Amino acid sequence: MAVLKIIDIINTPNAILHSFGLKVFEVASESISRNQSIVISFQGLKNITSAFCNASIGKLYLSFPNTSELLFFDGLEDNPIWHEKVQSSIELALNPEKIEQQNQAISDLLCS
Amino acid sequence: MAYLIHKIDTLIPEDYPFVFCDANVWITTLKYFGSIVVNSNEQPYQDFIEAIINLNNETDPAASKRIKNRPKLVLTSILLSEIINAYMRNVAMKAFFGGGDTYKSKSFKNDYRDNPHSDFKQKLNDLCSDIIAFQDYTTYSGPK
Repeated sequence: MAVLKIIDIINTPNAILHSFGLKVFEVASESISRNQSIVISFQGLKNITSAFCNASIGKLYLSFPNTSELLFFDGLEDNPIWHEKVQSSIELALNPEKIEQQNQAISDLLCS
Repeated sequence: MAYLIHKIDTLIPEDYPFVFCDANVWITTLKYFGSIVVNSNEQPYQDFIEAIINLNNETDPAASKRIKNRPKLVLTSILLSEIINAYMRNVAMKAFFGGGDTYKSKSFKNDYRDNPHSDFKQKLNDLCSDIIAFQDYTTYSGPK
């Protein structure tokens, strides 16, 4: 099974930006779209954010219905906060109406 | 008194050693899902913060020599308070109550913050860890 190390894709130990998440999504989606299992590895990272998880893992779940059968994680075992961020992004992706609601709430803040 | 306020999509981050962004820019950066479409409102903010992070991450010696500044994002206690307050009230609480009239009828303190069955603590911890994740690119100004 292919292992995708996030740090090798984004070239920084800080997985903090939405755009970094999109890079991971693009690489991972090549395998997922071909029904190939992959491991996304968080090894070597120093920080992650919700925005990163949403743009990478959340978007995979949103784009490919069989993601839960093909995607595995490494490096989350000892970090409950990271684990929770990943789970939250999956939960959001499985409830697209919540994504819309959150995006709209943030948009409203920007325009207020 | 004149303030140095710039339109975000015309600002060159490299021109400044320090940049202060308001709470809404931070919330967009930390929490935006953006998976369906990137809203035009959010894109300039995403691009601006990305430019700052990329300047700080640049390791190529030739490119590094040409960089005028590697700007730090300034955080203050008032800004942190505003980020937390705005997000918890306008995004997290709204999501918890499903928005609409139900959300509008609820009290932030009584029905959300002090409600042991709400996700207030989880969302607050999550937000704080998102902010801390920017530690390499921020500088704190104010009382410790």
